[in-house]
Amino acid sequence: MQFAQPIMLWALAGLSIPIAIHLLSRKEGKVIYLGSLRHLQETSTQQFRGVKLNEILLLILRSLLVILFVFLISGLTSNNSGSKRWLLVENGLEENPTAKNLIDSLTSQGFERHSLEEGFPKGNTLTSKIRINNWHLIESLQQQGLDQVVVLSHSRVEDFKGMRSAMTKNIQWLTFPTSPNNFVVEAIEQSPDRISVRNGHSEADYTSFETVITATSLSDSISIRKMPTISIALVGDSDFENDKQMMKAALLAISKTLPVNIDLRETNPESVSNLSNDWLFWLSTKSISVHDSIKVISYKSNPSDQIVTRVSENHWTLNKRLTIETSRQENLTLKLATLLIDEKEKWKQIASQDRRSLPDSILFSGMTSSSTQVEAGMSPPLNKYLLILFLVLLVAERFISYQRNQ
Amino acid sequence: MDGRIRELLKPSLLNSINGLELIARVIVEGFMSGSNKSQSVGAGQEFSQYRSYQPGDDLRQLDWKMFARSERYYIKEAEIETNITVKFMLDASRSMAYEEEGISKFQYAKVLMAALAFLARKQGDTFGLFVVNDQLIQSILPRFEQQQFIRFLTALVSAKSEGAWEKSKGIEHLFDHHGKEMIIFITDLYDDGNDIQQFISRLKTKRNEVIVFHLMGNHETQFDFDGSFTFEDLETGVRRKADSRVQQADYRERMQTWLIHSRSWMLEKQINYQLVQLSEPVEEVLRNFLTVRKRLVR
Repeated sequence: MQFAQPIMLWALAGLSIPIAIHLLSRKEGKVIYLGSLRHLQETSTQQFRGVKLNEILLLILRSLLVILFVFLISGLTSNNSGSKRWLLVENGLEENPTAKNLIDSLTSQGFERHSLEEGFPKGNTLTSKIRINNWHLIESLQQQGLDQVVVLSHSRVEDFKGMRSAMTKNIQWLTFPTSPNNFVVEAIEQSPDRISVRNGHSEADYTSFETVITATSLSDSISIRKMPTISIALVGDSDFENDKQMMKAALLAISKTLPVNIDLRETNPESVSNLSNDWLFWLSTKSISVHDSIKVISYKSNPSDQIVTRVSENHWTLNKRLTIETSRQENLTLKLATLLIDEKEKWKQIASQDRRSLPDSILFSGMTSSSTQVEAGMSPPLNKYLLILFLVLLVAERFISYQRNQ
Repeated sequence: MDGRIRELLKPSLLNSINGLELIARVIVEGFMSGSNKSQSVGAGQEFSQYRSYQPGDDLRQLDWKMFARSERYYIKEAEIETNITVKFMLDASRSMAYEEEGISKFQYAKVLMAALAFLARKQGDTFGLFVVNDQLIQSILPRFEQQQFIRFLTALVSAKSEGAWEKSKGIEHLFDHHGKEMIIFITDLYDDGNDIQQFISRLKTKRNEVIVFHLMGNHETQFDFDGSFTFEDLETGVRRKADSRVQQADYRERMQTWLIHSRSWMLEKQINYQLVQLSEPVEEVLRNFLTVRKRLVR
């Protein structure tokens, strides 16, 4: 039970009215002194007792009327209507003061608190650090058959992966943006007095990166890595001279832009068998025989949209002949760079530092969302029943008081 | 007539000896003069008449001075003095404090007694007073003295209505009868377990005369209070709420039964029972009482 306007409960002071009436009317009126009461009979007192009983009944009825009236104006609502209401809180949100207030008020309204993670463990748990997938969670929430769910979440973009689930009306998703985060992606020592530091900045709306060249590392927290070296063997027929030039230009561009050393060696197709390079660029129509561990990009004419396609674990094919136009159109340099430099670890690190939250417009497509809905969504007020009860009691009170005055 | 006496019945007068005496005198002399002459004539202080001597008359009653003047024999006759003892007994229990229109039963009884005592003194009767309740029994033993009336009034004025009727052996000496006497008992007959009834029964002997003035209030008899009230018993303090309109018929019936019963058992015992309503003027009560008595004497 709770009240929309608890301040109206002050009106309960109105209870004093029927009680005062009762006490005043109970006051023994005029006392008449008689020499003896021997001629006053029991029958009269019995009737008087009946009158008294009536009075108590009236007092109770009137008090109830006042209480009901006060409840009516103070908007009594019930929350024990048997509905299942959950409050899902993402880990780490408890520190946010506004979120904390909301959690307190919602739990006092009868929301059951659960953690926003797989399986929805009950209560205030801070167990798992694994990434959650909100789309999936929303889907499984809908299967719980809940009447009302309020979700407090950081709504990180990272946490929305895979198939998007439609948000239903009973779910209210409240986003609490995380505080902005500055982090260092990597620091690479290009030369003894030249360190390339990749800084990242992430907040609710965006994540940006910036490369700074410094002489010394700014922070000790990140380890300074040596520049990685990629050794590439470039094999080219005379037919592919132009392609070779294009490839070389692309590789040169990569080595100039990215903190990586490219060790490029040109060899002829015959001396390929005992190569120990990381990569082999095979610009020839001849067949290749090379060690399995060597990653190979070979030319094979193929009418494909992509300039480079992966054929097997360590084998890519170049689908087109390289000219200036194709290289430029197909972003050869970028493609090569993504192939050559494995940034999976880096992406993982960035993902963990990412603070972007999913905009509400994406989260609720075709749904209005506001925190005021939390109040509006409270269980229906008991006004109807109160009003009926009030009227019934009023009629009863009138009837009894009419009877009494007879 | 009534109004002027009523005006006198104020606490300031009633509670002083002179006031009470005044009231008694006014009642007896002012309004009853000539109405209570002794009916029999004979030897006495008060001259009545002369009559001619007839053979056989007592020579001692011959008025020789008259004979000297008129040379005729005249017998000088005087009113015969009654010479009885009048014992006034007053029920001073708390219930006598019942008040109606400014006069309580007790005050009414005091006035009635004072007037009767005044009469008694005038007639040369001996009179005494016994004020009885369970806290104090005040006795003014009957004597024939000049101061007796003042003594009587003093005791009457100082008497208070409190407590209940005396039930223990304290009243034994009140039954001490000897000689011809008249007992005037003023009460409201509200007793506990017939103790007053028994008392009255014991008062009556073959030789004496007992007169009971039963004081009742008008509202008390009619029960014409309009509405619900709390009624309190003056003696026990018990309170009872009652609606007089609902109760009235029953109450009246019970009251009438009680009054008739009281009258009948007293008549059986040859006790003179006088029901007095508080609204009746004292002098009228007295006149009626005396008229009836004169009729009885004749």
